Amino acid sequence: MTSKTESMTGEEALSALVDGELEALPRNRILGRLLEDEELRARWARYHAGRASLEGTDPGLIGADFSERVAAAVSAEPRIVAPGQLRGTRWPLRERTRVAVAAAAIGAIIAVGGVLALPDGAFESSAPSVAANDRGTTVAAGDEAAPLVSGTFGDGLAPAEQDRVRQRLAMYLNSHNRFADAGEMPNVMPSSRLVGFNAEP
Amino acid sequence: MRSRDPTLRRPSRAVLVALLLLWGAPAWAADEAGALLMRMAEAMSRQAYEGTLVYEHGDRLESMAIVHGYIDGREYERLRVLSGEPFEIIREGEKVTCVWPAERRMLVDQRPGDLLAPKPPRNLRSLPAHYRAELGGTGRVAGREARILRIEGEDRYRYGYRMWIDMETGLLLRSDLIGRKGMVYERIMFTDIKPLDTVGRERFEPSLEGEEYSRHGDPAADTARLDDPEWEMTDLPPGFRLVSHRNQAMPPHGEAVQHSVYTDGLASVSIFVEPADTDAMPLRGLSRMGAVHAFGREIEGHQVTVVGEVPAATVKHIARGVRRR
Repeated sequence: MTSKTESMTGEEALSALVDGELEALPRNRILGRLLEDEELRARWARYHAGRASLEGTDPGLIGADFSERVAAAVSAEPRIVAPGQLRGTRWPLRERTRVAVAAAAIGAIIAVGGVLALPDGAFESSAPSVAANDRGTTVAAGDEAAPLVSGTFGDGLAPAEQDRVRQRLAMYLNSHNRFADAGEMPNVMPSSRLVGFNAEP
Repeated sequence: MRSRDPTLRRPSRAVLVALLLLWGAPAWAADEAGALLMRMAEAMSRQAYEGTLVYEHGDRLESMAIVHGYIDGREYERLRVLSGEPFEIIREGEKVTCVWPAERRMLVDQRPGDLLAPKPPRNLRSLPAHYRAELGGTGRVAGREARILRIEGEDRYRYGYRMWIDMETGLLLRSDLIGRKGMVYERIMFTDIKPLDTVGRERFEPSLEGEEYSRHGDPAADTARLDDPEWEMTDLPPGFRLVSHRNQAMPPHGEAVQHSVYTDGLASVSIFVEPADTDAMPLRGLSRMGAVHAFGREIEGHQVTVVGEVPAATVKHIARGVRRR
């Protein structure tokens, strides 16, 4: 019997990936193909831009962001063989492992929030060091490309413990959010945080 | 004897005028920054608008559609997620409704109106102490010209903000929440925004129709104001003041949890204290999600957890100052 995801065409799978509807196994497969195939990556970006356009979001922001993230993940895993030379060849185990790691990295970027639980005092040293680009008093909107600090509650723990920590903290966060705009400055951050936390896988 | 030589007197006057200008410039700039902030606060509360925005935190990015209005003295807002599982939040004054259309579930929450320091919410009249504001240059966001405003915390207990404020309407087009060394913890930005002359109440109806969905209140909303809290915060970072002390029943054990809220005027922190001998997972040390930090520790058989959109140093500092009265 063929499952729905297995019977998908490449186009359908790509579209499903963009919509976040792929399960883990097919997602990893297509992420592996994204690593290999530059044309497929370009198509992914077009699909994403198309969806963003339909939704009224700015395809420039999302497209550029994704491209940078994919580029960073791919460059972190140096390729030895050009994609065009790969057809019909069997990769050495080490190379396959590297690609799997890179695919997992991209998968995490696309679908899974970075997760981090820190021991007391470990934050300062574990936070990524980002060049200070906030010193000038005149900054253009396009110059603000500082990467965001990643991390969500509960990573580094066993899955069962992670779930329990996340559930506990979710309750605290929901309660806190009811008061989070106790400050006088109006903004949509508290509601957005609630949205972000609800969207966590 | 006083000199009457004008060539000697003119330079000293020029120097005096220059010194006065230099002395007055920062205050003038701060006033201008403050005025822009006030204008933004007013616009975000009273102006009707709709648009699309993205919220970026960690490695995640959510896109949302928003519509906002001010009708008969009450603020309305509807925020609808455009990516992933459908979810929306509708705010009508103090009432907040969360809707999960796929699960046909609604959660209605009434924010308590008896905060200890009552004041019209979202009504900024001055920049809170321990922050300084500075005007930046200009930029474009969502196709609109914006003035950049930077707000910096004066110490390590506060984040900074960088805001892009619409020159025409005063609306906040983009906001970055910034930690140490320029690290951006959260970013929210309009990709499309349209100021509206008016907006009708029908725009704030939940997208669910019919009766086949469950509607219930927030279990955590089962709270009672606490006039004589058992636990106190003995060492708060400068500028933080009490907003609320409450007891609330918290699942899974259902026992009363002391929930105290403090704010420095821009950011807020919650402190939860509950018996440690429950089945709930103990929380020890530091965790974070985007800009939100949490710090847990055990004190005298009680779990103390501090949560807030503040730096790690703040939640740790507050947690270490929690004492039983």
